[in-house]
Amino acid sequence: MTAATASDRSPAPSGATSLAAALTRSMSGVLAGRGEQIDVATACVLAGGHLLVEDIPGVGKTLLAQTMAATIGGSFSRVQGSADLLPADVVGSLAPNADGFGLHFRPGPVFANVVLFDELNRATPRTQSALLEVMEEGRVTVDGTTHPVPAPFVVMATQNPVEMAGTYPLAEGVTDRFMAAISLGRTTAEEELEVLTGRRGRGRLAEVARVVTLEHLTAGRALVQQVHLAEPVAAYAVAILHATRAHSRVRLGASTRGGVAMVALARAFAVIAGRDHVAPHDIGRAAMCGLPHRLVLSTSDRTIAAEVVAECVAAVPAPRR
Amino acid sequence: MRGRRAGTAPLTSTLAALPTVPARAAAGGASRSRVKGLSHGASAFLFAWPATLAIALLTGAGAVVILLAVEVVAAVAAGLGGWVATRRVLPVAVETRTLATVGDELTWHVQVREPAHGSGRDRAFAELRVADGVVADGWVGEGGNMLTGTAPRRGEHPAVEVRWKAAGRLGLVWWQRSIHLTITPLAIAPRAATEAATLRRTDDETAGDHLTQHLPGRDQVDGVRAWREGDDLDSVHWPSTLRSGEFIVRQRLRDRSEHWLVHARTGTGDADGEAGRVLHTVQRGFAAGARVAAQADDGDPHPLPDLPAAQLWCARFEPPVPAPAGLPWWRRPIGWASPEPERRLRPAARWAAGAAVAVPLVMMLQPLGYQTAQILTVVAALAMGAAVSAHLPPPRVLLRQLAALATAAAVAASLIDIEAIDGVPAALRFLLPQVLVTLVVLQGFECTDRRSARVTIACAAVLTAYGAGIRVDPQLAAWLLASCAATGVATLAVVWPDRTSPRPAAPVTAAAASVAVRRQQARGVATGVLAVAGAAMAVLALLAVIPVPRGPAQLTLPSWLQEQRPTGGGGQLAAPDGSPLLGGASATTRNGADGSVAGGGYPGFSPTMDTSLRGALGDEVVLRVRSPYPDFWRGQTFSEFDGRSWTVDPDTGVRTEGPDHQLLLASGDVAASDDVDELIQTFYAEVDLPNIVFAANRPTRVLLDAPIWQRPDGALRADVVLPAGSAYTVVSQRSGATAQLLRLEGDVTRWQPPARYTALPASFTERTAELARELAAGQANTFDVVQAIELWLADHVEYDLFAPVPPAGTDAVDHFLFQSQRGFCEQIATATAMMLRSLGIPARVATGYVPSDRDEVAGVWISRARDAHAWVEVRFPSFGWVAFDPTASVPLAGEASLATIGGELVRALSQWFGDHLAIALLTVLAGAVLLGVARFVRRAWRRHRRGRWGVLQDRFVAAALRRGASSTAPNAELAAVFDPTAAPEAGQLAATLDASAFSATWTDDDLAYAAATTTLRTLEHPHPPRT
Repeated sequence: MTAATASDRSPAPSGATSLAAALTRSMSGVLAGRGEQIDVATACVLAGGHLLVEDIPGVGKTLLAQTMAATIGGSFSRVQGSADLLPADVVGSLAPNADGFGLHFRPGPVFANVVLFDELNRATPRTQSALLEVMEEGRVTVDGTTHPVPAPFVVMATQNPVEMAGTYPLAEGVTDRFMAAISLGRTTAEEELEVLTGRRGRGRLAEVARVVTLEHLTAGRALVQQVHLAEPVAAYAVAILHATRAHSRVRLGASTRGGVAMVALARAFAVIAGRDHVAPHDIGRAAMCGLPHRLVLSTSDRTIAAEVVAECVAAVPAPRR
Repeated sequence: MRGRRAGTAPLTSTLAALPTVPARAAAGGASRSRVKGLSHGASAFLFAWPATLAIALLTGAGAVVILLAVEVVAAVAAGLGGWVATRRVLPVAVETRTLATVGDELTWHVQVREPAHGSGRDRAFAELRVADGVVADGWVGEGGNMLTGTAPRRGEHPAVEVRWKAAGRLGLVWWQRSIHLTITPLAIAPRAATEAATLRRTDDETAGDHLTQHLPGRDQVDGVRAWREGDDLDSVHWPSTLRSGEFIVRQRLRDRSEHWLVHARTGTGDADGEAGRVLHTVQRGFAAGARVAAQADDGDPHPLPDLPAAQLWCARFEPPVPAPAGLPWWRRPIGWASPEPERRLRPAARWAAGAAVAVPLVMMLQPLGYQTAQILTVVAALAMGAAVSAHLPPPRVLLRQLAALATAAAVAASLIDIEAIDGVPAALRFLLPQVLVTLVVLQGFECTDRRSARVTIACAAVLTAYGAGIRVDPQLAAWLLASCAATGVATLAVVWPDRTSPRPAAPVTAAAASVAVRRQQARGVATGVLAVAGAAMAVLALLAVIPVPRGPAQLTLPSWLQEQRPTGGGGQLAAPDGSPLLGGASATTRNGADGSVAGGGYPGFSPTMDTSLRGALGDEVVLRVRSPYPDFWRGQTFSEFDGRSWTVDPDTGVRTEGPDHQLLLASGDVAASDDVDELIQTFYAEVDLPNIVFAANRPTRVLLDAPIWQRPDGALRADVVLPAGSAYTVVSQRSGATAQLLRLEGDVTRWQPPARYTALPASFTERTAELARELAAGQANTFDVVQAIELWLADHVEYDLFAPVPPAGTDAVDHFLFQSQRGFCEQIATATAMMLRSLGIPARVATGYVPSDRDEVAGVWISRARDAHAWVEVRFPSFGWVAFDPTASVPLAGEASLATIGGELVRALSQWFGDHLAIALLTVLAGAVLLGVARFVRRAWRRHRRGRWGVLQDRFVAAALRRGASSTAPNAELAAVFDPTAAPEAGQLAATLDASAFSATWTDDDLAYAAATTTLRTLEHPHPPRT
């Protein structure tokens, strides 16, 4: 995917674009390299989705999430996944009142603007499932009472590869809730050098300023939703979804929710590039980060999911004038 | 694996050993291509070839030789097409599952290397072989291909052999290559048996899985797992089942753990059965929730955590004994089986085959003298056969056969004339082609598959050869071309579906896809044109070394009379209508004085020839003569001259009955030595001719089904006239005379010639004799004397068809030489003969036809009415009568040399182009103008349809595709294929194009359009030419 340069003929929603630029700049001040992953994370937050970061330990998953949280401002909380983490530990539970009569709701860590769920796949499926409602609808129901979480609400989860010991694979329903999944991968030698010498890395986290307020973010999200999506481009997205369902190595293709997420991501990408409309390559880029983690493959090898989506994108002819 | 804790070390190692990556093969070296066999029905072509060869040998027709050359080139192309195709398709990787059960359906993903400049249409029939058995087969082409088959026998298979076969475009000869590709080992598990293997069970209540210990009770639901054989229906977890689409059951953990150790015995001779029993037992163990391990004989127990691990163990258990190495190649059976799927012919291919046989049939039936109605009957019968065999469903066999019988009977009744058959030769001549036609019609009804279509096409080739052998008319070239084209198209059509790749997914956006498709089509058309041109060049090159056939072989010297039209007999001349007098149907000049009328309109074909008459002779073709050399086709000779007219010798000579007339040499001719060759000529009468039998000098054999009179003056007359459409064959001896040999003869006057050939008329003038003596002075031999007289005549006499008639009482020769000095061939020949006679040299005048033209395809010489001619014959002691003529372009017999068919064709073609240069140039010009107009209209239409930005978009796509972009890529990716220096502009252009298409706020703007056009131009032409 190449990022097209901004066209001077399409006036961009400058507010949202500068917001995106601020987020990106802030994160690249801390993380070494990872330009595309930072773009995806920014787009995910702008599009109002949740982000899944998959990779082996020690490549900066948590740092990415923390930087994002620090940049956005608002309340921040963090959950560490483990085998004995219970749903109540995440969403909150009923506790006895101080007077000993009755129960009151004690909010869990999800009641924050940015929630970092570290090592989500170490938590049991039961605990993972507790996230379903809050991630989709932004509220928590405990004992029949519904409690809304603060808006904007962003969940950033990190995940170790499934093959590692003591982990539970995420259920399809949980992965489907994440708008985008990124994998950080190894850094280059120069980038690693920057981390080791302290020019980048956790040491710079303290210097991150809250350049974006929650109001900015809410307004930016509204602008992103207004980005024009032309009919042929929408048809292109649908064709890609169908291609994943017809692919020979896929047992269960991308869902309609996946399509909605893909279009939202594409809108955010357009905003980042400073355009007022979604271009076909935005869709392709969104598909590459928004679809692979949703596919149920006919083999147990998750690593080919990205390859499968790339094949689907390449097979569908892009719309042009 | 979900829910089952992987706590112990052996289990983890087993997990790690399980292959999770799909088997992917690495390319090794491919074998050489070798011939695998022939397509169904292709052997018919092997029979058609000798049949054509036989026809060529029997008829000696140049056209059949041309056809043979075409067939040779086609055979080479058909033979090598498969070789090329197997080279262009190269499987590089094979992918499949890593684990399967015996008898499972197994899907293989075959990756084929794309040729650098392929048209994308090359396909091959691939066969995947594992452990000497075919596991899948099917067509593969460019890119990825899915082949489905059944899993091979139990075991672990590390390699796949891919054998792929192709027959190329013509689809006749199959070639095969093979390659061994290593894959991530494919484990094939046995089917679970119904009985159990030896089993030891141990219960271990305390040694539970440590992770279960903190759970509060037994049988707590811990998670879900996939359904296994033996699971209870009650344990199905329906929500997960609905979500994933396969049965999911609740997994319960037990404190108590049960250990099963399954014993497998090796060396039982039935390893597969033992493996199946082990698998059965292991599955029961899983269903019972036990922890299972397997043990081969007394080896270490191998824990089996789940079903795949168990299947893998069973697959690897006691590997089957590898089959002995293959036989050496010279002992292997030859695989002549054709891999071509035998399938019902598509209607289009069936009709093409029908057309391929209909064209040569018409070509053959026309010269056999059939009427249009009869030919139409045959064509209708062929069409009916095609319709019935192409469209009638296969079960209606009886109906089809009834229709076939009825149609064939109708064709036979319409073609065969029973009354004309009165003997074996007549049957061979008048029944054989008709029976052949009937059989072809009959076969057409059964032509439903490829095998019979190829038989039909082979029949078409033989019929073409037949037609080319008996046709001599100028349309032969066109018919031959049409026939070859129809046969070629039919051959291609029969294999068409197998060599086209499956089309890619339906293009959503027309522009890019249409550009790509059009490029591919253009490449296909260019390849086709190149192939046809190359084949034509090859045919010409082949023909360049094949000489013109020397004439029909002795077996089939053609001879037939269209109609028996007897004359009065007695060897007297008869007019073409057979009347005994000297009348002629087309006579236009009459000499009322003596009542003599020219036969065939030419005075030279009557008993008396007045040298001052010639008659108005037209352009119509009179004779076609198949003969390797041109010669004088002599009709009559004259030796008595009275000063005005020549008179034929009244002696009619000897009569032979025929039809095969063996003739003796006429008086004055000298028997040729043994090494002198024969000249075989077949005369085809195109108009009604008198009973003169035209022949090259020194005829020794004539085939004509009528009595012939051989006159002492060398001429031949039949007792029938020769109606149009008749043919007869003459075998003449070639005298072998060359200018050199004739000069060696010296002065023939010293050899006392008969007086009648030196007799002079009474009116012969002294000044003529004086002139002759003057010209002969100083010439050492007779040949040079003749040359000198011819030279003088050429210099001093003007050829004029309207020469003045000499006044009554004067000597015609004297008047011609000294008064008018204008005349035509009769007068020139007479003057020459008289001058030679005055010198004592024996000379006479002969009349007949000279060949003026040659049809190079049919290989015949053409004589028109105006080619009627008179020339001088001079008698040499060693050679007999030798013809001389200063005006005709007929070489001396010994000086003619055989041309090659290719050389003749090239000369004819270049002459045609020379003659029609203006028309050819005009056609090219008009074509160019039309093309320009078409392009302009197309461009205007596209602009109208697509708008100006749409045209820009198409140009951008085309420019990117030329640099190797994918046709489905969006604009931003297309922009990335341009030069890095041009990339920013390209990206800008792509963004602008996207904005013009997809932005709601975009407005058209001339300035932006101009900028975009400029950018596009630099992208299209990276290095603009300096101005």
